[in-house]
Amino acid sequence: MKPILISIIIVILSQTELSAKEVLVLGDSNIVPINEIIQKISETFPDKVTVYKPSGSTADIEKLIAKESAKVVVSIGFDYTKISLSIPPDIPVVYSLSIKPVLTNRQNITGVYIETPLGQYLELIERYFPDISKIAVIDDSGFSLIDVSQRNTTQSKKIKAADSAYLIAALNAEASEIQAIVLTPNSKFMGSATLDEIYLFSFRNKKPVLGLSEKNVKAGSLLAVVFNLSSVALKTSELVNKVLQRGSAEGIGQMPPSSYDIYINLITADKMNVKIPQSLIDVAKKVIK
Amino acid sequence: MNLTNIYKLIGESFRYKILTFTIAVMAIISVVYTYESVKTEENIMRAELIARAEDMISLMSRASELAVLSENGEYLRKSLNSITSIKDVRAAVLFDKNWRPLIHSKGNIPLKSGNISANQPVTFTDEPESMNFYAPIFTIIVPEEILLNDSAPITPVNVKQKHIGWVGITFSKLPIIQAQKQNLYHRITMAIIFTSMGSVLIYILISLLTKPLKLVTEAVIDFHNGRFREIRINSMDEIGTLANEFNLMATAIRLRSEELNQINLSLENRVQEEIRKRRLQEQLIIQQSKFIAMGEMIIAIAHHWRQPLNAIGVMVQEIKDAYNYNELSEEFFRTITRDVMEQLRFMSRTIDNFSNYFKPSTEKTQFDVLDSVHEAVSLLSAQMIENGIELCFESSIGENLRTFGYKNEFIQVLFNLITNARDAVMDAVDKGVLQKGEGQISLSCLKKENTIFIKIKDNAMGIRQELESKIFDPFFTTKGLSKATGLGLYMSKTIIEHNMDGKIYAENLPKGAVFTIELQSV
Repeated sequence: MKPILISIIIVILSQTELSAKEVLVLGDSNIVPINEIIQKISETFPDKVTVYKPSGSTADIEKLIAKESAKVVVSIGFDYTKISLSIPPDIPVVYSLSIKPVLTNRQNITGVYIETPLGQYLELIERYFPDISKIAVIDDSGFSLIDVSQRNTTQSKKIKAADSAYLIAALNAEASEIQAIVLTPNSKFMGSATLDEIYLFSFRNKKPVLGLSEKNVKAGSLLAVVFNLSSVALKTSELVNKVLQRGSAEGIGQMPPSSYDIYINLITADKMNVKIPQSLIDVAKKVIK
Repeated sequence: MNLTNIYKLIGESFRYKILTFTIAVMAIISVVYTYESVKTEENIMRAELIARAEDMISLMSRASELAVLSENGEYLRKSLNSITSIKDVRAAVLFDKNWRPLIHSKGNIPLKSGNISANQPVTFTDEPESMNFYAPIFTIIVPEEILLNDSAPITPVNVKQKHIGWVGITFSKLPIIQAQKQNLYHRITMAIIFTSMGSVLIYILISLLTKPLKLVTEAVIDFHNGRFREIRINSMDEIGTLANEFNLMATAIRLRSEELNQINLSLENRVQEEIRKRRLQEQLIIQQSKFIAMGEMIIAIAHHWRQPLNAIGVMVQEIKDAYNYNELSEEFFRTITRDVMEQLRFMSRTIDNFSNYFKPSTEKTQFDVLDSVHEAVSLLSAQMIENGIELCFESSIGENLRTFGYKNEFIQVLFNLITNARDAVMDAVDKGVLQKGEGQISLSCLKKENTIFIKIKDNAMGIRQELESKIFDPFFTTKGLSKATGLGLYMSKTIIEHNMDGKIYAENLPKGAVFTIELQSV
């Protein structure tokens, strides 16, 4: 009888605890990948999650935090992550689906960014495409010429480009050295017009592009190593759980996803005269033929 | 339709002629202008379409490089969509360089047609409802020598091109056709408006211009009809000058006309005087002819009286012999007296007959032509016998030869013709052409249908050919005016043709002449 009563009391107490909305999620559930992460968090913390789509002011968010007694704010996506940086630092923030690691002075923040680490590409190239020894990695300022075997990005040749025209011209200038191009997330050179020019350069000179997404592969990239959304959602939930347990995000750090998918375009491979090893095709999530 | 018929249709006036001509010219100009402008517009639109299409396809050729180079479905669709979104593009297709279609739109795609060279920037073929354009797609082979610095754009040098495919676009001609139709309707409407308004303006202009001309024309017509009026036109142009000259001319003519009228009046008086004198002369001649006729009558009477006078003479001699031989008896006296009286009555009757025949008929009556011929013959028979001329008469017995006219005048005509024949025969005898006793005058009457033919034929010398047309003229005679007046045949013709609605004419025979009278039978 006594254990039963204790159990009932624990349940009642736990029910009382669960009724508090400790997790405040900032995100637009209408966007599919964001919604998938919200779902994962909601499954992990049933009845503890409040989803809010902020209008841009942090005052509403702070009121909601006070009202719900929220212990952690989860911002999903670049825009909401930017908003969450204005929340008082005593509230821990967990971000997700940010393209790159968040550079901020704010304390008490952690999260998952989705940029494929260059290391992944270098490892893949080295393993499956031994003929490619030098790649151009396009970033915000231009591109870097990196020797795949050395993997030493700090000693790479940096070429700056003020705009798309300079970037393409510079690629043309270095065409003899470049054997492949790796795209990285940035807002400056990832516009469709610039991408078209990059692809044009790629096909004219038979220099394959390694993209960021399935969309890139469809558009003509040879292949792309793309974050796994489930992995990002799981990792985000783990970070929320860790923050709730600790009561703070300090010291956790920002991290990439732990799992990636590979997309391959065999038409491009054919055009580029690049042979894709069957073992890579076998592990690819999607192959465009 | 000749010019006369056209004038009948449009009216004869100068105004309508020039109006019709001008409107016709305007209509022709409108039609030619409309045709030319429509054709020009069509050529311009066609050239514009071709130029636009060439620009478009050149642009699309460059824009499709990535799609054809990569053969990437996304880029191919993107390129195709950008081509087909162009206005008036009906269909489009992207080929590889061996004309293998990579992607194409729905509908009739422009397949390769004829020899198309990649050296030609744009090639097009013309179809009834569309135009197909083809352009080669090239990719650029970038050379290794590239100039690059931090401050200036990079300029590629010695860029080479490589042919990688084709773009084909079908442009619809429908907008051109529709625009042509609209243009045609517009031009036709404008042409009709132009012609109509032009016609009205020309009508007004011509009316204004021809108004003075009409005034001149009316004045001329009035002048022609004898009404002179001055034309008042103030303009100093050709028509004004014409009007002034007309006024001067008309005034001059009017003055001359008045002078002429005066002259004519005096001339008329002189003519009347001459006519009067001529009539008087004619009357004298007629009187003379009457005297001659009377002479003829007296001769005829004399011939008629010769026998009874002889008979009376013989009877008087018989009385003398009876007295000498004492044979006078009551019975003898009774017999001789009766015979004398009979001769005297014959003589008296002869005078009555002659006087009757030469008395003019007062009114037209029906009479038997045969009787009249008999009477004429009986009047002249004695004279003919005496002159040794055989006068014979023949006619159909029992035939109705009645006519309507003046009997005595008709007998006088016969008398004239028989005495003329007698004179001709006598002349022939005198000239030795005929021997005395060979002369013949024959009369005949016959009827054909409703016409009675009376012929007086002689066997004299006939009528000289040069005189044939003159014998019925007044005062014409071959006998000399001392013997004849030249009015016998003239009066005969007047009586037969004017008074009795008949005909009289003369013809020559192998021997002699014949005069024929035609009268209507009643």
